[in-house]
Amino acid sequence: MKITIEALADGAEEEIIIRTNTMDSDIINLIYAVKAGRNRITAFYENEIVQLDSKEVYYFESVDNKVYACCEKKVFEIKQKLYELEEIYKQTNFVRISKSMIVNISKVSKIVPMFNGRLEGVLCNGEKVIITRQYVANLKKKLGI
Amino acid sequence: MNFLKVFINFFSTITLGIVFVCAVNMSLSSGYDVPDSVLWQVLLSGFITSIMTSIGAFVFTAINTKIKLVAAVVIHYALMSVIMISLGVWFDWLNFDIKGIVMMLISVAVVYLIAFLLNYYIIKKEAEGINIALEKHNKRNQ
Repeated sequence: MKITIEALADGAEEEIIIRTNTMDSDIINLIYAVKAGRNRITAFYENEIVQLDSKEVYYFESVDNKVYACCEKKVFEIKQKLYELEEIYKQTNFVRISKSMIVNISKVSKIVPMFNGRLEGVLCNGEKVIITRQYVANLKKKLGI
Repeated sequence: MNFLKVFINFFSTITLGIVFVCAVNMSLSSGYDVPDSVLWQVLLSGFITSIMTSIGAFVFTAINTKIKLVAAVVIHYALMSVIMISLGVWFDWLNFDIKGIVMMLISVAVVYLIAFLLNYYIIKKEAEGINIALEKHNKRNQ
């Protein structure tokens, strides 16, 4: 595939044009990756609307039909559903680790085995998240194991 | 598929534990002729206890507190003991008296420990593998 990069004049709007014969899954995933990389998440924090960088998010969690984006210290409410976030960020560092959680693996410092057969992820801020056995294969695949 | 995988994992570790306990018991009891059927009995015991343990594993993994986990382990151990005592009486492995029951409780505890340690070792190795990949991944993304 040929890649052409053109330098733009100051102030000109950046643009990506994809020329393809077939809209296959590779192209679709590429579009998702570009969009997720650039997209900022619209979130709500104490009645204010804020724009979050997805790289700041440690994990997304669904609790009582509400979805939260948990960052280092703050928790933001977001309007997307967990399955939508999983689709949007599937080509990035985010991976589903349980029915109610999608974690940013670049924020996971280590994985610890638990006595009941589960795995626990320790995040960079010290928080611990449970990795359900059902989703361990997901995590391994993401890490290329 | 997941249940089958869990079952095969438990069946191999539990049956290995039962074989180990049987071997020790046979070595200790001199002059005891081992019938051919004992191999099938060991496999059947392993099968029944593994089925129960595999079902229990799905309950175990959903437990979040230490107290509930300890309670689940005690209940599971008691259930395994009842199953093994019943099978032991049926297979003529033990006399249904205090000594026989205590010996079976100890045997179940030994099998329990072997299966627990083997499974924990497998999970620990799995976590180590993930940690190595995670470290590489995070270095690449820094």
